[in-house]
Amino acid sequence: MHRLGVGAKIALFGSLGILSLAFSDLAFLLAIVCLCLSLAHQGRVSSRAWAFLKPFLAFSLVVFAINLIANQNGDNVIYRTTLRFYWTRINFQLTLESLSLSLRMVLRLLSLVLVFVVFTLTTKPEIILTGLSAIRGMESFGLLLALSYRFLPTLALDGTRIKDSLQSRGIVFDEGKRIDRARAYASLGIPLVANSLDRSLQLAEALESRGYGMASRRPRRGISRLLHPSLAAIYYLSVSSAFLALWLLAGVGRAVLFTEASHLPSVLPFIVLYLLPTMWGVSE
Amino acid sequence: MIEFRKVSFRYGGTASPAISQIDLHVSRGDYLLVAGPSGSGKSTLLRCVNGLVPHFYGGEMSGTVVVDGIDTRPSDIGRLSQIVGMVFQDPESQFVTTSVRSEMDFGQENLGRSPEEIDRTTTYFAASFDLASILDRPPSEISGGEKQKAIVASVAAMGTQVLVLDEPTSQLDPHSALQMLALLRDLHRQGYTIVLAEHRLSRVLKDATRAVVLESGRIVMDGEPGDLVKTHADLVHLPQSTKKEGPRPGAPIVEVRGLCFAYPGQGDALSGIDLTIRGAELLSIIARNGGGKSTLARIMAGLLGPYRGSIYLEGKEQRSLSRAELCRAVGIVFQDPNVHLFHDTVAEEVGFARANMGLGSVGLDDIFDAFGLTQLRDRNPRDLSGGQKEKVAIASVMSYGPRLLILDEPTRGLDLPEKAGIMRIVRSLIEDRGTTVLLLTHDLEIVGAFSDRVAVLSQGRISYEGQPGEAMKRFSRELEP
Repeated sequence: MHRLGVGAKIALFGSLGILSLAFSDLAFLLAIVCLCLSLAHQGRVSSRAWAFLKPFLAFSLVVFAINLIANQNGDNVIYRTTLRFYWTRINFQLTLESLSLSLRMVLRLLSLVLVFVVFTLTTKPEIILTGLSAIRGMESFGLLLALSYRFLPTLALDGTRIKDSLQSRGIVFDEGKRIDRARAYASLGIPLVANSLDRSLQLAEALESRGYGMASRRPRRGISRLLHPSLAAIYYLSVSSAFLALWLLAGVGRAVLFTEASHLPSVLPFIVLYLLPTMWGVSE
Repeated sequence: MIEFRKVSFRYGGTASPAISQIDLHVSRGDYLLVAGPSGSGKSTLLRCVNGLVPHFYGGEMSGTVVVDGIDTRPSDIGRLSQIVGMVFQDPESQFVTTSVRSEMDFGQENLGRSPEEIDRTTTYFAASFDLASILDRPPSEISGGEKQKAIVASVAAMGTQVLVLDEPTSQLDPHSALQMLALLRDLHRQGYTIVLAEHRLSRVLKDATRAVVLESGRIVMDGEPGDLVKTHADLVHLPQSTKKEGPRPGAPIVEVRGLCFAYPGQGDALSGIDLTIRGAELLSIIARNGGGKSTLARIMAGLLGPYRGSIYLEGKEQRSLSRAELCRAVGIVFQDPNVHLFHDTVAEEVGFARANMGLGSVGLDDIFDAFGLTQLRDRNPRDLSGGQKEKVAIASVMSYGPRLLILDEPTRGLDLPEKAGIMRIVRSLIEDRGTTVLLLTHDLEIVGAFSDRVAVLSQGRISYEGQPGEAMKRFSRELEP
């Protein structure tokens, strides 16, 4: 996964994102989630992806419940009841259609989150930022993000040093009342900000000294790298275009209910076609 | 190549000029050494060459600076950056991108070069600066020396002819510093014009072709580098040892036994450290950068916990002491004095820890006197010079009288007179107050002149503990490639 070119990764995860919005068939949405999990496993980022995913699982349950309650349409009733709440009566029915819709919403949400998480975990931030810096009109914003990312470890280190210095002079951070602890942490702020301001001045000098802002047009190196046509990228784009065409013309991936499984035979080739390059060890 | 004609400059909001009436001519291919005490105007002079003064700083400038036929005042920093490459002190603050490759690309992109030309030039300079193997590494994974080398390579890749370096070795360990100076020697041989401001003059005298000394913003000496030793010996060599007979080192106050420490997910940073520090002595620990000095200091101050081994402070195991007891017993001053400064005045800063420990303000005047800070009590500590900040940081710790004072690189980035001043105060703490000092440094001049005993920390172990001369010999051998 990590060896796959950036262009190919954008093609792969971009098209999976688009397909997860287009497809409504449960089997296809489940296939996208499984694909992403498999790619995370191949990229050895499963545990980190899981850490990102965990908070979304609780949110997914809420989405599931809201959809189930809000949408009670459908002819295939599984369960029906009347709830009495003081003087009012609320009719509730669980249908196959509402269950299907709720599951689809959850799977779509999870697949979109996974697409984003696996892409960012298997792509160096530097490459993403370089690409961003190369977009016309976004140069300064891209550099700002790159600098923020670059100086995060430095800032964290400064914070640790200041905390150590204060601890050694008797400030207690992890004991006592909450207000005292809050006060102790607040005392980190002044030296941290002052140090960061010093650093920002030195950084500005370094940027100026190397002619930043001089070229009226910086070379679009990031974009050319990102859009560098690779075999893998062309492959993913072709496969995605084929499935989008099938979705448009033949309704593949447009099922509504569990019961309608007419497109199930297409799911297996869908998974295999997407996994093939990474399983084969294609790097570009 | 570079011509200063009656140049004076005053920063906005200051009364006196940083440099005045500077006349200087630097020929193509010169290696000019700029020397002088802190605050003498070296950095300002250097910043005039690439136009940071006056374009970046504003202020009032008179006279003319001409670089390769270009008057810097009507020109701009961008245009001058194609001729003059500037390298600053702290590699951490001037490494602007997220990898060595993008750092080398950065300046060239600013010049508007084509992607193909940038790739070609970066590959060429990465090979000539021996950076090819770390091209895709982020700054957090390379050493300070490698960062500094990457920055020199990135300005060289812009096609500059002049390299201006403002104390580029001050934050590096001796090994990396020597490598940086060897790199400059090579670049000079290739025809680069080099202007270098440096505090550790003895190691660059033989490389430079000319030297100027600044004092209070004026050039007071301009001549052969060798002449510096005669005219400004105090800038070149530390004064003879000022150690005097104080109280004889007493019983051990710190005993470290079998100490092992590892950061999460990494190998042992320290493995089986055994060390004894006696009362009223100055024990120096020397090691290369990343050799575990700062880790050991943090463990001894109770800020990190070892996974094996024990530390005994005056016979009591460190773990059995409360945080308050430990703070009273062990004071630590970190490398960067700025991390100690967070009050508005020197008086508040120095009195803070003592007040925090409920000790009142009796005896604080002695501390101000001992550190020469009486006149600076009402000044903001962040406005002081590097040496003065260091004094405030040490005084703020000594205010509550710890028996063991740990100093982590207290002389880093300071000039020789400032270093000597700090170390004289440290010696007086030992001789007059009986304080025990653990000095962690790679400044061998300081170690030789002021230590009672020296321990060499190598690959997480103490490889030698004993007399300064023998320890320095062994350490120098370790630095050899």
